[in-house]
Amino acid sequence: MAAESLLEGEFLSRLEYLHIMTRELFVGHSGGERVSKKYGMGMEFADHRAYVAGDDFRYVDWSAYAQRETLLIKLFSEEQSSPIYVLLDVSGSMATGSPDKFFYGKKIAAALGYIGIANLEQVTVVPFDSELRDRIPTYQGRGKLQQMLAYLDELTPGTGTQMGAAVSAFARRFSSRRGIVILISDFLDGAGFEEAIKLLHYHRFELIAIQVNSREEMDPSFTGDYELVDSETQQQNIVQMTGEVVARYKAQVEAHYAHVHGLCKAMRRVCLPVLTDTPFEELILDVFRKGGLLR
Amino acid sequence: MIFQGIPLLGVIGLGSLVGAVIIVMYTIRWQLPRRVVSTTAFWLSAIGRTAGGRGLIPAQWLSLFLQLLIAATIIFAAGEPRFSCQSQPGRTALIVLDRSPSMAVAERIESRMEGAKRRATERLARAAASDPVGLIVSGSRPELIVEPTHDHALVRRAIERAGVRMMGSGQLALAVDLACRMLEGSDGGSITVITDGTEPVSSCPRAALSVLREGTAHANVGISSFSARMTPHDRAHAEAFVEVYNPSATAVKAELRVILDGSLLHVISFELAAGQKETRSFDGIPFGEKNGRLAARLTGVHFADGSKDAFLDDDNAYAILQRPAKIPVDLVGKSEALQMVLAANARYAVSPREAIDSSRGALQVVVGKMPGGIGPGRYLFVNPQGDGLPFAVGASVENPRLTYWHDEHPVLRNVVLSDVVIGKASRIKLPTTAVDLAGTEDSPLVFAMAEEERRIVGIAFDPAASNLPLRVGFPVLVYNAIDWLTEFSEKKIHREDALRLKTDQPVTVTMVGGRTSSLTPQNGYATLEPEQSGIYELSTPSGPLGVFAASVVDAEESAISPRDDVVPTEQVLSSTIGRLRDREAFVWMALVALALLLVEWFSFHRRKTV
Repeated sequence: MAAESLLEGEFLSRLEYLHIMTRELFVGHSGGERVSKKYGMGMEFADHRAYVAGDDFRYVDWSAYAQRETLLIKLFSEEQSSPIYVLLDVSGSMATGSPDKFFYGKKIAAALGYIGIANLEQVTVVPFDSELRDRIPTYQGRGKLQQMLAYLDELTPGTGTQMGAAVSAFARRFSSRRGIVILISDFLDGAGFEEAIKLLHYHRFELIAIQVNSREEMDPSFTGDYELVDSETQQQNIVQMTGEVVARYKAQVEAHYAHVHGLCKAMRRVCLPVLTDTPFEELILDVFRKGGLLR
Repeated sequence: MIFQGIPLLGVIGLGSLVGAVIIVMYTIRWQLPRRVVSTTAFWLSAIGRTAGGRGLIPAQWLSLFLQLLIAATIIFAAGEPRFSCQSQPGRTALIVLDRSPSMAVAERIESRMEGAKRRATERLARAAASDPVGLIVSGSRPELIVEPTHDHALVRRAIERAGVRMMGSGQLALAVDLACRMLEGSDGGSITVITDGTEPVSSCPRAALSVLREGTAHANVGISSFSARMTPHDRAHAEAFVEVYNPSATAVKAELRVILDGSLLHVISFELAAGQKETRSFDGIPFGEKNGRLAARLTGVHFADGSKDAFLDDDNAYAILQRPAKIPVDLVGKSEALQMVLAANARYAVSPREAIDSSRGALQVVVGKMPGGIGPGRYLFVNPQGDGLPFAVGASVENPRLTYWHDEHPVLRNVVLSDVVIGKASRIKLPTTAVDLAGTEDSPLVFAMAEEERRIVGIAFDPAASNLPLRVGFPVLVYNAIDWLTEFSEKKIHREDALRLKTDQPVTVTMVGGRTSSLTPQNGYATLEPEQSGIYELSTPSGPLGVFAASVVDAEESAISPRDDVVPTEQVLSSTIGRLRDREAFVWMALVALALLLVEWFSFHRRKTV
């Protein structure tokens, strides 16, 4: 029942036809559907090389020999599974907004994880707030799908965000097995998010940043006097929401996320902004496909 | 500094209360709705702060401070403070307010009395802060209600309390005389008389006198005189005298009804031309052992031009039929003329005495030299001599010539003194409480004094040294004087003034129409101001006090249209009216409060909405 609340059954079947797009090819475990750099026993032709003694005659390209009178061996790309790391921000700031950013982020993680598992990829769910959560499970094979959904559903919001420290710990642990990193976060980190993105870039992970925000966070519509409570620090502040103050707030927020996008662009990484009031099916089947994340 | 509006303690109490309420409401107001946001960093940056807090922000502190300041200023202004710097030496202003019965006439918007009170208040407001202002009301006799004071709020409250006295005439001349005497010795001053202009106002050369008229011309017919008494030779019946007066400019038809204890005795129809008086007498009125309530009533009034009878209170007159008791009179001294006059009236029980003894309650008629001091009581002094008198007796005046007399006073009613020749009289100097009734240019010859416990009538010459005993007016003068003196009895009701009874017990008054009210004695006296004509029954827990009839019965009061000849001189006040320098401080405080309100609004509430 819990799993069903994240992803509906009919929608799951539509996800099976999608693939996560990458710009780089990674060395992974064989048996996947992603074409790797490694030449091997795949179905897809990759190149020729000169015949050397001992080569299997079955791979000699006799058509080329008829034209050039040179023995050439056909090389094929080996189809391997690529590691997918879903870094899900479970800090307190994600548990705000309407609809809830935390739940919406979990749904994105579940959908992308499902696509990865359906494509025989190895999916690792990495929740973090100020540090990595103790349990970081890896799922491969369709049989693990429900376990992944159940795990995501059980996640609860944490405290403050320290994206740099968490990503640093992640990099130390998984840098030997590079892969796709899907970073789902609101990028609200008092200590700064730049270190995290730079670390992932340094360790040559294929970063796909999904910036999750609520509508009221980006474009607040409430006015008057409020006692604002910081979701992470629980600090309380009385703020008079005048038109002028709201305008300055929006300018601050826009500058902040422009910085996020600028950094991703500079590192040639994908960054997709998402609002939680976007219908989820539209997000996956339309927004992500148009954004080049899925095909 | 004095507070003319709310007293100082009231200002402090009200200020504390309002301040507490504002703070409580502010505290409640700042229990703001909570809103959990992902981060407050952007909001703090947007409002220019790096760290937040739950306390009030500076704008809110400023707003709270300004609101408290505004409330304090308004309350302070409501107290109408008058600062010591405002109390410069000013000129005394006396307001004389006519409270005679004709002031009850309703004009288009308000009654004359209400209009007069409004104008008195306006006059008070125009007085400078440094001007002491006093209030005299005039209704049958002048009364000093508030002595000149800088506490204008006291005067304002007295003006608000003033009401019409539905008895007698205004006696405005006496009221202005009183005001004029009060200004004696002062460096100028002003007297403002507010009246409906139906009776003359005397002049006052030492003050700037202005007469403000309140009222317009109306048609009216009324009973101008009504009296009843036991028929002299028939103790079983009484007779009544009624005079009806039409002071209007048009003829009128009416009916006069005479009613005894609710039973109609007589009905007379008559027609009066403009300005005409009609007198009728009725005899054979049954007169039993008990007091009877006799009423004369005008009904069916129709003016020839269709006007309405504007003043209804004078359409009714009341009298109480009661058997007169004998009045004890002690005659101290010798005067044949007086002895004859007193002996001729069966109402008096005359006893010759050698010395004054007022302890028995008898009226003391003292002829010649005073045998000793006098105490409380009623005295008729004839040719007073010696010490111990409440007025000063100077040297003799040979052949004094009477130059004036006030025949409107009860003592001189129906007394003609024009042909009286006097051989010798004493020069009298009266205190301010005395009323000069007749005299020469430099000395009074007949006077009256009314004090708390004592009433005096004085004749400053020996009747034997004049031809007065040969005149019809002499017994009338003596009887009038005794009537006036005995009306001041502590147990009887004084008919021409407010009802004033010496009692320590609360008095229950059953008024016209059966309404009852209670009078609480103050300083041993209970006072009733009849604001409506009719019969008043008075009683205390010890028993009934008596019955009191209040009627207008005055021709001057029935003539309700303002006259042109009532003002002696047109004197315009300029010295004390409208001086801007002494404008009340509370006006400026109210302006300051308004300015603070604007600042508060700009500083806090003027915010744009999204």
